[in-house]
Amino acid sequence: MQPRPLSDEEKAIYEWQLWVPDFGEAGQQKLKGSTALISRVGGLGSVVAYELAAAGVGRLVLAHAGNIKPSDLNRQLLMTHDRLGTSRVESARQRLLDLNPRLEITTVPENISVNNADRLIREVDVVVDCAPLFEERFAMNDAAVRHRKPLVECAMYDLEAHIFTVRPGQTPCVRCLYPDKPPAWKREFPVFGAVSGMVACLKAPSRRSRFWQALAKHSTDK
Amino acid sequence: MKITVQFTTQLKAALGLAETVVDLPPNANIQAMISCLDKEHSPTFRQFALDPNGRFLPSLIICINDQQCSGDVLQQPLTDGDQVALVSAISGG
Repeated sequence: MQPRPLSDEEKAIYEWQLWVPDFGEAGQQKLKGSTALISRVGGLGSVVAYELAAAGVGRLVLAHAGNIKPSDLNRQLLMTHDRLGTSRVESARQRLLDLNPRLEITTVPENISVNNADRLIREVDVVVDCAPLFEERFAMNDAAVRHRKPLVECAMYDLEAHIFTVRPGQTPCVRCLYPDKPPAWKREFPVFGAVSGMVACLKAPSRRSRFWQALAKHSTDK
Repeated sequence: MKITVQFTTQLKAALGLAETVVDLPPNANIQAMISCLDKEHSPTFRQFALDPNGRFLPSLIICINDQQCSGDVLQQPLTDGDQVALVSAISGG
């Protein structure tokens, strides 16, 4: 990750953000120079992507298969009613560009798996895991550890959530905590959009967020 | 002695219980607590917490009084009034 200089337009847009202690113009340049992979832009990933776009991240890689379904619309804030039946990542891309047209976006109409995890994770600075399946989470974790990329791990169920950061070689990883998926786990989960959105904001950029800490630490380590 | 056990996510939903109190003999450990829960809440508890051979699943983290257990979790001793949380892996996004 190489910090990138800010244009006058960007300095104006992020003026109030630059006042955040320990962030400043250097932090903004670092954010602009960084690339984040977001695995699925659903209830969590939509809000993480939106907050990252608003904060001025330079590039997003969005991985999410399939087309928008009615049951997405209660929480997946980058999906809209008029785009029902069309590609999720394309809807996400358009909504994010409406907010931040300077953002570079790579859309991947696939979910993360052992077949694409290495290829996708190799090229990014930080991975944000918002996937609903343990198979995806383990594939991302394993590739992040192999490529020594920080992984912000987040999941929710009803009113419960967990958020933690994996810094390969320095912290435990997902498999250290949970070696296997729970055998009886069902894919569906009860969710209000307000809850997944709140959890997502806890890991999106802010002064003390998991995302920022992971990125800042990663750039220091390099 | 009385031990309060808290359940999370799908285990909580399947049992229909956020927590329960189990009565164990003095000097009992986590293994004794798990066996008690298996007897009282079978087969649902077994489905979420134990493998087909009756071994405790590593996809559940055990916390005693908000401290995560490590090492030989099942041999951790309990004392009267302890609060034990069974924290499940979560994958909802």
